[in-house]
Amino acid sequence: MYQGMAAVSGSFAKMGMLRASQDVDFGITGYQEYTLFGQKLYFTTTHISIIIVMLALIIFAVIANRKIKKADPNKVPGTFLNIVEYMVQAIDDLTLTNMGTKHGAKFSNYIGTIFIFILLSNISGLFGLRPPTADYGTTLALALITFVMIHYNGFKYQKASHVTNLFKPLLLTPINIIGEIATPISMSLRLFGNILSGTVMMGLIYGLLPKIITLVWPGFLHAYFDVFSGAIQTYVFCMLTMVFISNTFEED
Amino acid sequence: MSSIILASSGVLEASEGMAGRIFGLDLQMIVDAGILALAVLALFTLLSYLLFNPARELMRKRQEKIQSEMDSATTQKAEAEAFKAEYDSKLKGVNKEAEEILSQTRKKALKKETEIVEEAKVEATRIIDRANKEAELEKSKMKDEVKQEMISVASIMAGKIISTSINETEQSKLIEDTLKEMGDDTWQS
Amino acid sequence: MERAIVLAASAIGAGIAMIAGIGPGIGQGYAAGQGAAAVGRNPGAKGNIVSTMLLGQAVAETTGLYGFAVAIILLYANPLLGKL
Repeated sequence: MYQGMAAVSGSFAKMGMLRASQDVDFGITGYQEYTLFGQKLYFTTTHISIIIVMLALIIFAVIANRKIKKADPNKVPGTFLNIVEYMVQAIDDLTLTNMGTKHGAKFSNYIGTIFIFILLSNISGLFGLRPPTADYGTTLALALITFVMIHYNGFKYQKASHVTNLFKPLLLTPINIIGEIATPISMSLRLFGNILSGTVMMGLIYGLLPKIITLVWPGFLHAYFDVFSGAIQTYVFCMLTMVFISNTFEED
Repeated sequence: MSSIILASSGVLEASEGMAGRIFGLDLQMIVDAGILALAVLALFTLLSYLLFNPARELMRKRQEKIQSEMDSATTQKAEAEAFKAEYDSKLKGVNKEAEEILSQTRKKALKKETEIVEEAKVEATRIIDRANKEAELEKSKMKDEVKQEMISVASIMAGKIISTSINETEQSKLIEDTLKEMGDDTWQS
Repeated sequence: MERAIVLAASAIGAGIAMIAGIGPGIGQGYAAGQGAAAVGRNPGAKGNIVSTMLLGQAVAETTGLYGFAVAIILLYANPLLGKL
C-alpha cells in the first residue's frame, strides 16, 4: 500500500505534474560569512532586501528632491509632484490627528519614514523579494526604536512620574513592568508574525503546486497577503507607535 | 523564491552555514536589529532632508502665495466696491446737480426776463415821454406858426377890407380886438 | 531516539500552541461585526470606525501572535534540543 502510493507520487513527480518540491523555501539564506565577537554571522537575504528597498526609497527621494528644487510655487505642480505632496500631506494629517497639533509635527518625519519603509518592505513580496519585515531582527529594531522613543518622551514630559506610575497600584507593579516590556515585543511580533505567515503560505504554495498553476493562481493570495495584510500591518504599526508616544504627553 | 533567484543568478553563493532560517534568538538577530536600526535612522535623516522637509516647504510657500493672492484679491474687491459706491453716489449727485443747475438757470432766466421787461417798460415810457415832449414841442411850434399865419392872414384880410379907411393905429387895435374875440380856445380847437 | 521524541513533542506542541488562534479569530470577528453594525447605524463615521476597528483587531491579535511565536520557536529555534 505504502509502496504503491510512493510509486504513484514518484511517477507524478517525474511527470512534473504534482511537485512536492524539495526546495520549499521561505527561510532566510546566508550568503557571506563574517566574524564578529568570535561568532559566525552572515550577510543574509534580509539585508539584500533591505538594501534594495532603501535604494528604491532613496532614489525616489532624490528624484522628488530634484523636482521640488526645480518646482516653482507659482505654477501648477505636475503629476509626480502632486503624488509626493499628497503623500507628505497625508502623513502630516495622520500624525497631527493622532498625536495632537501641539507635538505631532515633530514626529511626522519619523512616522513617515517608517510608514513608507514598512509598506514598501511588506509589499516587496510582490517583486519577488523576501520581505525584510519577515525577519525578526528587522521588526525588533523598529519596535525598539519605538520603545526608546516612548520612554524618552515619557521622561521628557512626565519627569519622575513616568517611573512612579509603574507603582501606582502597588499590587500591580509586576504587571505594569511586564506590560511596558511587552510593548515592543508584541509590536515586533505582530508585524513579524503577520508578514511571516504570508511569506510561509506563499512559499508553500509556490513550492508545492505545479509550475503551471502557480503562474495563474497565487495572484489573489499575493493581493491578500502582501498588499492588504501588509498595508494594514503598516498602518497598525504606525498607529500603535503614535498612540504609545502620544500617551506620554499627558502630564499627570 | 528570491534566494533561488539570487543564487541562480550567480551574484551570490549561498553559504553552507545558514539556509532556511526562520526565527532565532541569537547574536545574528541582535546584529541584524542593530544594523536595521542604524539603517532606519539613516533613512529617516535622508528622507527628512531630501523629501519631507522640502515638500513641506514647497507646500508652505504655495499656501502662503495663495493666501497672499487671496488677501490681495479681497482687498482689491473691497477697493472696487468702494469705488463703485463712490461712483454711484456721484452719479446720483450729478443728477441733483443738474436739476439744481437747471432750476437755477430757470430762475436766472426768469429774473432776466423780468429785468428785460422792466427795462423795456422803462424804455417804452421814456420813448413815449420823449415822443410826447416832441409832440408838445411840435404842437407849440405849430401853434406859433398857426398864430403867425392867422395874424398875417388876419392882417392881410383886415388890410384888404379897411386899407384905406382906417389908419395904422386903428388897424392894429382892430387886429388885437379880433384876436381877443377869437380867443385862444377858438383857434386852438 | 530522545531527539526524535523531543522533535515530535515540539511539533505537537507547536500545533497545540496554534489553538491560541481561536481567540483572536472570535475577537476579530466580533469586532468586525460590531464595526459593520456601527457603520450601518452611522455611515458618516465610516473612516473613524474602520480605523478604530482595525486598531482594535490588531491589538486583539496579540495573543494569537504569541501562540504563533511559540509555535515558530518550537519548530525553528527549538530550545529543547539544546538540553539533550
